[in-house]
This record gives sequence, structure tokens and C-alpha cells, in this order.
Amino acid sequence: MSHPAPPTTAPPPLTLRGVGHDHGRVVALDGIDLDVAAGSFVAVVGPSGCGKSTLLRLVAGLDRPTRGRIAIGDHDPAEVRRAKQVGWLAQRPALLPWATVRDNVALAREIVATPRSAPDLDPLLDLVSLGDFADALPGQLSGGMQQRAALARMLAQDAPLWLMDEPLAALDELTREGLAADLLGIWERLRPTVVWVTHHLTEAVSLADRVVVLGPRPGTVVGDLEVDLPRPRDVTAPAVQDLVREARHLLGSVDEVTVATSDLAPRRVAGAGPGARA
Amino acid sequence: MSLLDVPDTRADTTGSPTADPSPAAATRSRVTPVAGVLLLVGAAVAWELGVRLTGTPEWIVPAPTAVVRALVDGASSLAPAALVTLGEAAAGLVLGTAVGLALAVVITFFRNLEQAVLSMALLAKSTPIIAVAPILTIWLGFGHAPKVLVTALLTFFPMLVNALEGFRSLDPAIEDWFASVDADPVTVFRHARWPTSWPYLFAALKVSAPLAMIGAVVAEWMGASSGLGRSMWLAYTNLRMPALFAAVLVLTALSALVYHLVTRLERRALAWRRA
Repeated sequence: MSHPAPPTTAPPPLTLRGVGHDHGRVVALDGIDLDVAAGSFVAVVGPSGCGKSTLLRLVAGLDRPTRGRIAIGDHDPAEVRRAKQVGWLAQRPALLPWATVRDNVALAREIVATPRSAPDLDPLLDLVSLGDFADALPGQLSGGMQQRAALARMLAQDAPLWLMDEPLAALDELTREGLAADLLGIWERLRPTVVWVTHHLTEAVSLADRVVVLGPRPGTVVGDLEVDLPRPRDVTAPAVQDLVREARHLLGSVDEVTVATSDLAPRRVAGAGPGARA
Repeated sequence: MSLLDVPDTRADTTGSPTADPSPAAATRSRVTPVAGVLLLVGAAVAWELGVRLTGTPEWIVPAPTAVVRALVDGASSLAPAALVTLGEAAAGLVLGTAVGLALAVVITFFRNLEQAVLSMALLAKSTPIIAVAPILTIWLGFGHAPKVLVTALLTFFPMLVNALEGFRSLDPAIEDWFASVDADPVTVFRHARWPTSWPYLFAALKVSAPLAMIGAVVAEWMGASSGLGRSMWLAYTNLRMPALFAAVLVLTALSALVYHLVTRLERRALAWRRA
């Protein structure tokens, strides 16, 4: 099978210094300092409303920080966005419902005007297991398939920076694990810089190189865990469980904890985690 | 391992949520037209009996049978009159729709023009059409032009308001995606705002298409050499109520037909919503 070529631009490092953001009078984020190495996979976790999504929007250049500075490589996020080097995958796939899967993916290619090294659409759709559904409308697909189509659309952009806002949150358990495994496999092949926002601690630990823990609003970094474990990761492995426990402890240390219920009890299903099959 | 070695998650998730309408829904769709026809027939029978039993004179309320007789007898004049009115209504609808759409597009791209354009539009919309129609007839004569203009004046506002709402109702998640790839406003409009607005445009058409028929007839009342409005006016001035009712019946049927056609067109154009 064909695989997409690596991004034509090298994955950039990411630097945040004293970043804060206000929604009117509400301080959503404050004093965020963060360094993300080029080509690394960083998960950001935190309780609901702590500003995880706001942080991602700031990095994407969709909003401007009220305080502090964000640099993607040597550039401002808005510049990187204008250079169309931001891959964006949100909780809702945001596909055009009147356009087929192929047309949705092709639109990304058309807008971004990807260089000739970019792969054809068919291998991309095969890569996300949608080869047989290229002419289907989004409404004819399940939630998981729609998110795969959105992933294909992001891959078609050939972006060196992937920003993902709870991309698996709306999916059922099995679909989530399958898609997480696929995403991880594609990331290992292409090695873009990834910032992955989630409220699933297990998901974060099983996928990322680092887990950044944000406290409740106003969101600040209360922990930064390095996940120095080989992939694929078994979510039932003691090392993984220890890190999940540590992340939970960090969240617990900030009074208010709102995390996914499934994270509150360690999973015991052997081989069911994304790490087990990537 | 190959990326394609992942378990196929499609097997349990390929169902289309609206693929099979329920038997109850199918039964309902068969029953509704039958019930409608029965209701109409029942009303006509009650009307006929009411007129006959009370001995109401024909020049006040004609019986349905008298109206049908007038319809058959006057078919040779009503048919060309209906065609004239239909043509004027269609031309006015096209003009009004085009102007309404164009203004909505302009406002979407140039937000600072919104207040000025909407104020002018509201002014035009608020002016009583019954006052405008004779003025236009004096200015433009007894031909088709004033009828087309009156119809356009009646129909442009629903299209303007709905199109504006449609262009602005883009899903924020889709808007975010377009922003993330820094798509230019024309691309966003072409690929997202325009298709998003279609349900709103059809809603406007369902209001303005029957309204166009009324607009054309009102303008014809003010002075015309042909059309259903003129037929009605002639029948009215001669107190030929069956003929007047026959003309009204034709107008009503045409309005209903136009509405039905717009609905059919909507179903075809928005087939993706049923996916």
C-alpha cells in the first residue's frame, strides 16, 4: 500500500511563555510556560473548563493570547496558520455534509495547494480505511468513520503541526481504540509535532511522549509527566498505570477534578488499549 | 505492522440512520393526502348545501357547482389569463430573488454596509404595495413591467432576510476548520456558506413563490390588459360572482402548484440532509 509522504516542512518546536487568555472578564488561562520538541507527541489533560481547548486555539492561531507569547519554530501562530501548516482535528469532524468524503478531503488539498510530493487521495482514504466509502456522504457514515474522514482531510494538508482537540471524545470505546491506534501509527510514520488535548488520562499516557496536566480555571500547568515507555503500550501495564495514577494525583492536588469516569478505575481488559495494537 | 491491519470498525457502524422509514411513517404519508381530499370534498358539499338550503343569491355567494360551471365555461379565457399572471409572477420572483440574494451576498462580504442596506430594504418592504402598484402603473403603463416590479418588491425581502441568516448559520466547527487552513472568504462562501444557506433559501422561496402570484394579481387589479387579476376585476365590476370565484380558484390552485414545485425542488436539492 502507499503511505503519505512526510510533511514537506520539518516539524516545528513549540514554545509558550507566560501565555494567558481572557474570555471577557473570565481568565481562562494564565502563566502557561511550555516547550514542545519538534516531532514530539504531547498530550494536554485537565478538568473540564480548564482552558485546554482555548490553549489549542491559541497555538493554532485561531485566537490571540491576551498575555504572553507563543512561537512555532521562529514564527507567530498566525503566520504558521497563514502558511497553512496547521493540521486541525476537533472533537466534531466538521465535514461538509453535502460533499462526499472524497470531495471533503480534496477540498483541503485544493485550499492548501499541497506540493506535488503530496499523496493521491485514494491511498489517503485507504490509509484511514475509507477507500470503499470515498463517494459516501458524511451523513451515511458512523461517527468513527466521519472522524477518519476528517483525519484523511488533515493528512491531505501535509501539515507539520497537528493540533487535536479531543478527537476521540465523541466515539464509542472500540472505535476510539481503533482510531487511536491508527493515529499513532500514522504519527510514528510521519513524525509531525502533535499537541493532543484530552480528558482521558489513560488515553494520554498510552499515546503521548509527555503529558502536560492543567489545573482548573484559570488553567495553569500543574504537572508535566514524561512518558518514557516503548510503544505499543499496554494500558494494564504497571508503568502505564503508575503514570495514570500520578497524573490523577496531580489533578487531585488542585481541589477540583473532573475527568472521564473510565479513567477513575484502571482498565483490566488485556490488549484492549490502543497501545496494545499500534 | 501495517496501518491497514487494524480491525475494521466499519462493520458495526455502517448503518444509515434514515435509510428505512418506519411503517408508521409510510402509512402516515399515504393517509395525509386522502384525508386532505376528503376534507376538501366535505367542505364543498357543506358549502353547496348551505347555499341551497338558505337560498343565498348567486351574486353574494355562488354554490361550488356554479363556480365549476363558470370555470368550465370560462376556461378559454381563464387559461391564457393564468399563463400571463404566471409569467409575470415568475419574472417578478426571479427578479426579487436575485436582488435579495445579491444584497445578502454584499452584506455578508461587507458587514459595514449592513445597516444602510437593511434600512433601505425595510423601507421598500414597509411601503404598502397597494399604494405602490397604481403609481408604478401610472409610470410604466398597463404592460407587464409594473406587475413584475410589484412582485419583485413583495418577494425580495424574504429572500434577503433568509439568505443573510443562511450565510451566517455556518457550523462553528466548520468555520474553525476553514480558519485553520486560512481559507479566503470567497472559498468559505463558495464551499460552505452558500450550501449551508440552501435550506434557508428554500424556506424563503416557499413563502415568496405563492406571494409572487398574489403580487402579480394585485398589480393587475390596478390596471392591466390581461391576466387573472383583470379577469377578477371584470367579474367583480359585473357582479359575476361565479366567474370571480372561478378566477380565485385558479389563482389558489396555481399558488399551491408553485409551492408544491418548490417543495419538490427542495427535496431534490437537499437530498444530502436525508443521508
